[in-house]
Amino acid sequence: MLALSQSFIPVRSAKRMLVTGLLVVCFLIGLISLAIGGVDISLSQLVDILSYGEANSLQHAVIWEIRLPRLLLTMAVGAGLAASGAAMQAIFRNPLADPGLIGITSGAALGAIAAIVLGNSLLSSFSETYGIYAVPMGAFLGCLVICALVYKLSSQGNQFTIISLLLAGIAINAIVSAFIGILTLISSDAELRDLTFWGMGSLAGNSFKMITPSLVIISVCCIFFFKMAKPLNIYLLGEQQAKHLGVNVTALKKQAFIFTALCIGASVSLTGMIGFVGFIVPHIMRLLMGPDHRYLMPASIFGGAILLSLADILARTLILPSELPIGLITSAIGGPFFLVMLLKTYQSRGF
Amino acid sequence: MLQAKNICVKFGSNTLLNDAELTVECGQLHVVIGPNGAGKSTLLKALCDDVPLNTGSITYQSKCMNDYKPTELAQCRAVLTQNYDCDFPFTVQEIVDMSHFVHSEYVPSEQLLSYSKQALDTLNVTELANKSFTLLSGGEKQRVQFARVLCQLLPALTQKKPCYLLIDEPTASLDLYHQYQVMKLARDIANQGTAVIAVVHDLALAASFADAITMLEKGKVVAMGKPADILNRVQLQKTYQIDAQLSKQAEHLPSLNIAHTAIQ
Repeated sequence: MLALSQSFIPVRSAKRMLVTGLLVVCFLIGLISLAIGGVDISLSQLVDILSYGEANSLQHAVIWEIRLPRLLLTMAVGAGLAASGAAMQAIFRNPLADPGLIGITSGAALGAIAAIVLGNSLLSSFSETYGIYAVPMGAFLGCLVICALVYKLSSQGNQFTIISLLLAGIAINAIVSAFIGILTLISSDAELRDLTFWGMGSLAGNSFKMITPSLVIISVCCIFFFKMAKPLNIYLLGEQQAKHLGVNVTALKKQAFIFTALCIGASVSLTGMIGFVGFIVPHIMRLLMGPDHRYLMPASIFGGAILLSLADILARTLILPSELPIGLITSAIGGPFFLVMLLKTYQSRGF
Repeated sequence: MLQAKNICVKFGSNTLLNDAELTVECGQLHVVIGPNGAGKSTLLKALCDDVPLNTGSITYQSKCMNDYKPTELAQCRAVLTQNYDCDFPFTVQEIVDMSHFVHSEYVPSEQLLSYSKQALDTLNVTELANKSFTLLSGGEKQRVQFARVLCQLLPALTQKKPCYLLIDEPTASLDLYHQYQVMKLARDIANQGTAVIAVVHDLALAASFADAITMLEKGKVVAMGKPADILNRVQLQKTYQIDAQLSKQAEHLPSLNIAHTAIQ
């Protein structure tokens, strides 16, 4: 017995080290990200500004009002997307699943686009009430409403089956994209430009006040995802098997769905569509350390934060003084990666 | 004691189980047999609440199954189903350790690890412990899953609490040696005080190890009793439409003799 459990200690400790390593990398990338940009700030200046720098200098303002909130938002969104991706892949027991599959992201898109296009007409009271928060609020509400609909459609009695979730998601996706089409059709040129850019994602222009609610929601969701790690592992054996091993399967699926909806809603409401992070990061982490969610979840959270921060550094430095939409960069990395994974899956199954 | 009374299971207009009954005492190995489509797997699924009952009741220790908390049952009942595909590359050790979930609150983790070790040893899969489950052969997978359900029962078995083990065709993809080894193991687990219900296709295997046999045909129980009483020529002709009988030579386990005119 001892020999057996001993041989496992190095593996586990290696996983723990990897998670710690990712946390350290995450921190370093954060520092680099704060230092890089249109206004040059050296690392020693950065430390000064972050620790006590009271000066009303330009650098101080750049760090505290622009780069730090942006960095925190980037990391939270990256972490949230990756963690919900990992949870969805587990719940669908399919490494290719994605929150977009069940209508979560399209709901947010509909809400945001409705707020953009109808903000001056039908929804003028809504946009007056929320001011600059109108689009994020619209996206968040859209996400929740559509998710509630999918949830309602796929739960009958105490059943909540994955196949009905998937089918409801597909149908709702189709309906929502029809509505988005109609809104696009009646939009003015300026609105069209806004909604197009919303669809490509942007991490720019958010103050601390703006990002705090999202940060709180995403953090809470990530904690719950981490708490679900053990039951999610067992769930991967099969629904009935998990039930016989003492997991409350229906509750687990519902929780995963609800936290994914909240997490995605809180993320994309501020940033717009950012594709593929939720898909690539859990995948890479699974390749590195296996499917055990006790390590996969924290690794995905830190990995997502790292990947999106890196992508953001590229987005805002490649074509200075303007910047690339973040969604373009993640899709440009994620698309080819998805294809490679798909081909590898086919090859390993011998097609 | 596990008791099922008057259970009916219907899907639409299809009646899969019609007024079936089953009583299994702790310490017994009870085998369910029957031709294809007789409702064997449905009966097993009904016993572990995987299919809903239309009528009837199922009790564990005289307490209705639905009155148990799910975790309470999982602590003393393990189920080995026919399907256990898993596309995620867990190691064998990780799969077996998943059975710790319901016990982790009241059994220390070193103790649970020693149960895993014991289960892996019993099923001859210790050397596979660090291998990925997805890379195993069908027979190896089946033995690993058996190790997992055994490990789930070990805490309750050690405390001499009443336990239940439900297995659906545990020998389906095993070679001859492992077929008999697994059935012998089911026998041993029963001898330690567990009520074991196994769906088995091989009548010789059933006759070799079972305390009692329930024979199903078209969703109905057509015979129940000791293997020697059930597996006679008349009953086999009636249910399986085959001219066959059990034969037993000294120092050998029973085998099935089939008349050469049986298959036209």
